Formats: sequence, structure tokens, C-alpha cells
Amino acid sequence: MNVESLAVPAVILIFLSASTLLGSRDWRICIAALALQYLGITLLVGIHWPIEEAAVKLLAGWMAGAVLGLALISLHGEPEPYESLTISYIMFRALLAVLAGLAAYSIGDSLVEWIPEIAPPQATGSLVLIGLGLLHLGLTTRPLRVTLGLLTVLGGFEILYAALESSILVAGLLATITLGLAMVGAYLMAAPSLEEVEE
Amino acid sequence: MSAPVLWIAFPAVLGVILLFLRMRVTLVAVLGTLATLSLALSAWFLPDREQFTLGPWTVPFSDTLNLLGRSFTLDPADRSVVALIFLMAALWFGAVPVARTGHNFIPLALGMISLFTAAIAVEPFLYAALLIEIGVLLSIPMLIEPGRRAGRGIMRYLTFQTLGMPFILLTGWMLEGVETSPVEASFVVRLTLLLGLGFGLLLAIFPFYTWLPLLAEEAHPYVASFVFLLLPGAIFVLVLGFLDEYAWLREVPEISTAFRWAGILMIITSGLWSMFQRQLARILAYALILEIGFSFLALNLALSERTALYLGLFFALQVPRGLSLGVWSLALSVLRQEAPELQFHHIQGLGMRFPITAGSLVLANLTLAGLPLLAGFPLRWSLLDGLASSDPGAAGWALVGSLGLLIAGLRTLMVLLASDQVPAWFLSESLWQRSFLLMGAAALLILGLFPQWLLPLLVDLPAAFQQLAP
Repeated sequence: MNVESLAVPAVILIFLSASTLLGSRDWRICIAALALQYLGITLLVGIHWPIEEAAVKLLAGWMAGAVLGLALISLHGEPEPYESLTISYIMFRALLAVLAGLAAYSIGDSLVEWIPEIAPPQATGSLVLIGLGLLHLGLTTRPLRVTLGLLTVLGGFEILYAALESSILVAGLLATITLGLAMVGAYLMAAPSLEEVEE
Repeated sequence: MSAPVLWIAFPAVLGVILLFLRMRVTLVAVLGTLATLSLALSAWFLPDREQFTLGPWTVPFSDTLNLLGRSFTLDPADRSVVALIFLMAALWFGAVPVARTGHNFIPLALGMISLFTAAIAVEPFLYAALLIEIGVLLSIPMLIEPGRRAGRGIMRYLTFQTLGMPFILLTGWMLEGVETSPVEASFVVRLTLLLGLGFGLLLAIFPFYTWLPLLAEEAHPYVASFVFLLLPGAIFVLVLGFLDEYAWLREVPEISTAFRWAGILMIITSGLWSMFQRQLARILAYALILEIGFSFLALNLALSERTALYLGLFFALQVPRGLSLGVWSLALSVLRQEAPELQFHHIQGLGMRFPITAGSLVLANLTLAGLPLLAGFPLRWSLLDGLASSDPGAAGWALVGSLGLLIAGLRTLMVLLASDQVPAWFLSESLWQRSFLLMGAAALLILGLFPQWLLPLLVDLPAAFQQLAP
């Protein structure tokens, strides 16, 4: 399969899914967007790695989504309710996403100059994820949102780093971190409702 | 058998086993303490041989373990650092039943120690950043006990530590193949920027240290102190790894200057902020920031002159720091059982009912402020003496920061002894609490009076970085 031909659609998929993560308050939509985001990441990583190795990213990402999803199902959604959704909220986040996308598109070429190993779609996809992930982190302190933001930033970095390093140990450790972040996020959401068992 | 199996795999497996036994707090504490103490002693005294004879069996022993195409090596030069880590853990675990931490503390702490030891052993060393990040993730369930809400401190801790890791990995990639000094100035600027951001986030350098006081307030003080001690130690080993591997990096003046300014900024701001705190755990967090600042000053001096001496001093600083944090956080754990918020208005007058706790707490605070006759003083004096000869202004600012922490300690003492009623002294601490606190306080005094007893044991620590301190 020629993964390179799917690079541009993968960047678009990444932008749409990361923007959805930034804007949506429904955790079901967020988990679905996370799954799509990891599909895009896998396709971009596949430019440098054999697709069966790149699939590790997909597997780790989907498992992370499953961990978060299962935790949210058992908690009947996020523990703290949101305020009502307003037009200004949606417009603000949409504008942020567009600005981050434009910034990533314009900086992408400079990144390729600095790191010649990466292809232009990889640079753009990576910067989109890092930018939108950082915005996500800057806007919230909720455990689910912080976890999604960190997974997004880390996903962007993984695209970049895949072009530079193909060690199996590194791939395994990064997959462990992805899963670990999801588990920590699930724990932080569930912690207030857990009870310490006395001896 | 290999060194990584003994000092990395064994504690990890033990941690998993103890997780199943976690409800038996005393048993877990005893097993954890004995195991870490044995591992510390074996790291210190095990001779450098290729095989060992156990009765009729001959067991081959290697320094290296290969895993997924990469190697983990703990050669004899690394073992002093490993011994120090396990010794600190043993001291910490021994008092766990007295401190009343969560049930998961010792099993997860063993996992963290295993990962941080792996970070020392992994080749190429920059993969340590990944192992440290996994250790950070493991520390979260320790810091936020079941039943408690995750606050801003824990979220910032997770965020900053996770964001720091990519910068370190990218820096490692940039440095690959650059054995001699790079020609391009822009390369050095990019490199310094990436290194600065990476270690700034990981080591909670000003202005990225806001999570430390917040987390100290949210988490159990004994657990938070353990993480505060172990994590910067592991990250500093990574910093030394960079300086050891790339000789030209040591010659870049911007790096040495950055260490000095990072140190001074952290010491001044933390010392001054600590004076105005009204919550005891936050003062402890600022004391740790001050200590990280002094570590940076030791590294700055090590890069400028007499590298072996100041690198030895850098490692020696860990001992009074570890002891003081242990005593301080244990005292806070005792007071927390009476006043969970640890705010000044809640602890007012508690010193009369908990005199040993109050005395130990203030003693630990004054030790980290560098008061004469206490364990922190001899090392702090040597450091400031060296700094004063090269930059008297910086030494003056470092003294101002220390003075701030000293005032914070005296304020704490005043609050603990302030009472509207007629003073009535009595001991409310349990026998075990008294014993541990008195032993800790005595160690702080003895090491202050006889520093020469400790220093010979630490002389081998810089040997782990053979290029840096040949």
C-alpha cells in the first residue's frame, strides 16, 4: 500500500479530529475523534516506518481511547458537568483551531528545513497536533481534557520523532506512555469516587 | 544474572508482589525496607566480578542486559549512585506506617525506583527521558489518594513533565554525530533553547515551578517529598549524562551561565516566597525549589573549575536534602493527623502538644536554610565559598534566598508555639512517631557536627560520569 498518497488526507483528518477534540464537550464524540486522530497519526508515521510497525501507534491510541471510554462509561460521563454551550464558545474554539492550522501550515516548511528527514505533510500534521494540543491544555484543568490534550501533543511529537528514530524500544516506550497517560487520566477522573479500603 | 536484573527487574517484580499485599501496611513496609536496604548494601559492597559462587553453584554476573536491541548497563562506577537511591528509599519506607501514607505508596515507589535506575542504565542515555516519564505516570496514583479530587497541582505536574520529555529526545537527536564543537552559532542557540525548555519543564526551573507548591498542598506530604526528592535526582542524572557524553557542551559558556542564573533565580524567588506562606507543605515545596537552585550552582561551579570537587559536592547535597525532607515530611504527616489543612491558623499552638514533631520540623527547615551546626551547613558553606570567589554578587543573592527560608522556619516555630491559653506541655506523639522523628533530628545534628563521617562514603559518586570528572 502506498501510504504517501494518503499523507494529505491524513493531515486533513488530523486537523478535523483535533479540532473536534478542542470544541466538543460530548465525551463519546471526543473518544471517536481520538480514534480518528490516531488513524491519521499512523498513516503519517507509515511514511517512514513499515505499516505493520506504524500500526503500533494505532493500537496504542485506540487502546488509550478504550481505557478512557470504559472509565467514562463506568462513571456515567465526566464527573463535573459543563456550563451550557454558547455560540461564543463554539466560535472561539473554531477560530483558535483555524489559526493553529494556518500557523502549522506556514511553519511546516521551516521545520522541514531544520529537520530534512521529515516530509512536508508530516511536518504540518505534527505541528497541527502540537498546536491544537497545547491550546487544549491551556484552556482547561479537567482530567479528561488534560489527558486528551497531552495525547494530542504527544501524537504530534510521535509523527516527528518517527522520522528520526526507528528503534523498537523507543516505539514500545512511547506506546507505554500513551497507554499510561490514558490510565492516569482514567484514574484521576475516578479517584474522587473511589474509597480507600481500610486494613 | 546481571546487574540490571538485580537492581531494576527485582524491585519492579517486588513492587508488583507488594501491590497484592498492600492492605498489610506493616508487612509491606518491613519487606520494602529490608529489600531496598539489601539492594543498597549490595550495590555498595558487591565486588566487581564476572561470576559469584553460592555454595555448590557458580552464578555468572554481567553488568549489561540487552533488551529490544538496546542495552542496560550498570557498571561498578554507577553503583554508588544506585546505592544512594536504594538507601534513601529504605529510610523512607521504614517510617511509612508512622506517616500513614496510602496503601499503594511502597509498591508504586518501588516501580518508580526501578524505572529511575533503568534511566541511569539505558544506552543511549537520552532514552532515560522516556523512562522518567513512565515513572512520573506511576507516581500519580501515589500522589492523589483514592477519594481525593485531582487539583491544579497534579494536572500541572503531569502536563509539565510530559511536555518536557519531547524536548530532551529532540535535543538528543540534534546532538547525534556532533562529537566536536559545532561551527554554526544558530545550532548552539537552537540547542540551548531546546535544552533549556526541556530541563526547565522537567526540573521545575523558574517560572515552571508553580506546580510544586500546589502539589505539596494537595498530596500527602510524605509521598510528595519522596517524589520531590527522587524525580529531580533522576533528571539531574540525565543532565550530567549530556555533559558527560558531549565534551564540547561543557565548553559552551551559555550553558554554564544558564546554570548559574537558573540557580540564583530559583533560590531568590523560592526563599522570598517561602517567607510569606501560611501553609506548611507549601514552605517545604519552596525549600525543595531552593535546593534545586543550589544543585544548579554546584553544576555551574563544576563546569568552571575543580570539576571533581564540585561534582562531589553536588552529589553530597542529596544526603542532607534527603534527610531533611524525610524528617520535615514525617513531622507534617504527624501534624496532618491533627490538622489536615496544615494552615497556620489550624496549627497554632500545636507545638505544645506535639513538641518533638514541632522541633523536628523546624530543625529540618533550618537545615535546608543552611543554618550552622546542622547537616546542610558544611556543604552550603563550601558551595557559597566557591561561588563568592568567582561571583560575590551571586553568592550574596544565594544568601538572601537562604535567609528567606530561615525566616519561614522561625515564623513556623512562632505559630506552632503561639497559644492564647496558659502553656501546658505534653507529648501527644506515639512512641514510634517520637522514635523516628528523634532519630531523624539526631542525624541532622550529627551530620552537621561531624560532616567528615559522611563525605568519604560519597567520594565515588562522580565516578559514574567518567568523562566529566576523570
